[in-house]
Amino acid sequence: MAQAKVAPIRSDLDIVIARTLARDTAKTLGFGAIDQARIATAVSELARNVFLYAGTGTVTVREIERAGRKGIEIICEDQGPGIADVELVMQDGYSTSRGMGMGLPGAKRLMDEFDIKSVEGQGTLIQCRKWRT
Amino acid sequence: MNTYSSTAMHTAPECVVYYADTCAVFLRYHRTVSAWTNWLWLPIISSYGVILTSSRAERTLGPGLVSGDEEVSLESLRIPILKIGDVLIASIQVALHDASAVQFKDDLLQKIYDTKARGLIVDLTAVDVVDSFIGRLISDIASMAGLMGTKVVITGLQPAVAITLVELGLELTGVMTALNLEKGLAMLRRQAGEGADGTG
Ligand SMILES: Nc1ncnc2c1ncn2[C@@H]1O[C@H](COP(=O)(O)OP(=O)(O)O)[C@@H](O)[C@H]1O
Ligand SMILES: [Mg+2]
Repeated sequence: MAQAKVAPIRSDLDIVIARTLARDTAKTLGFGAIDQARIATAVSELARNVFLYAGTGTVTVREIERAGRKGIEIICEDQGPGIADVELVMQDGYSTSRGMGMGLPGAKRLMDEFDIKSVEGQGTLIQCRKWRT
Repeated sequence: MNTYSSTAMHTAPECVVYYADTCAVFLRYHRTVSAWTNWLWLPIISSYGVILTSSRAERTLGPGLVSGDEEVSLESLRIPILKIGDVLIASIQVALHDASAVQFKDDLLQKIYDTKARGLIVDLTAVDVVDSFIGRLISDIASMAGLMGTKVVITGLQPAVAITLVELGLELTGVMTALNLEKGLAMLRRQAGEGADGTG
């Protein structure tokens, strides 16, 4: 299995790099055009959150396999301020930055599995997966 | 837009993947990025100006960092806005990062004001990701231009982008769309005709 690739996030340019990495990996894994767009868009949202709310962090993209099924895993990690109420931020339209508030709930809809762990004052870890059909 | 699958992995501190299609963005906006990115891309700019080809980048940066047969040519620092009659046309051909997207919006509104254009077409044929940030920007462009009396039509939305937008939860309500540039122009003309004979 291919090695995980890490895209550091430190500027808004890195958001473009991270989503391009995710898209290219998805394409290599045989995901179709629509899934590639879903994955790239989800990564764009998550990477932007890292940049906006934590300043810096990383996006890791890797190939995964479960019961003979191939997929892609995206891990977004930051040591930013963390999220006090995870349930609240997962609601459509909730934003503390006058954003659209669609990034997290939207990314969850675009991926198959979505897991968010956050500790206030320590950071946020989001792990999401999409499986090839 | 030319795309490349070539990547190069480095170990820290340059631990990042570079893509030829995004290196266009680096070149364009090298002054606004972090000092770290500046350091890497500045030599290409000073050696070759704003025109970079993948083969040149490869020579400059060493083999493996950028590769590919096609050439990427960068003509200008900003997205060109063309004027045809009283319609402005802007076609996004690069991966927009946040700062460049905001710049694009400002440029568009200024150009509308300067030219008194009646219509604006933003062609997204080459855009493969529209996230909530860009989605909001498109809505903003449409409503701001609308306040200035200019109709905006978004053209060329790829099927995958349209599907993703709806799943993301953005439907660009209130934004006129057309399948392609030709249909977009026809749409604006029709509206102008309706307005002119007082039946619209
Ligand atoms: N990595 C993160 N660190 C801290 N807070 C975050 C992070 N990601 C998201 N948030 C919080 O969750 C809220 C909702 O995020 P999101 O759904 O992407 O909408 P938006 O970014 O438009 O506000 C943000 O406004 C922010 O308060
Ligand atoms: Mg967000």
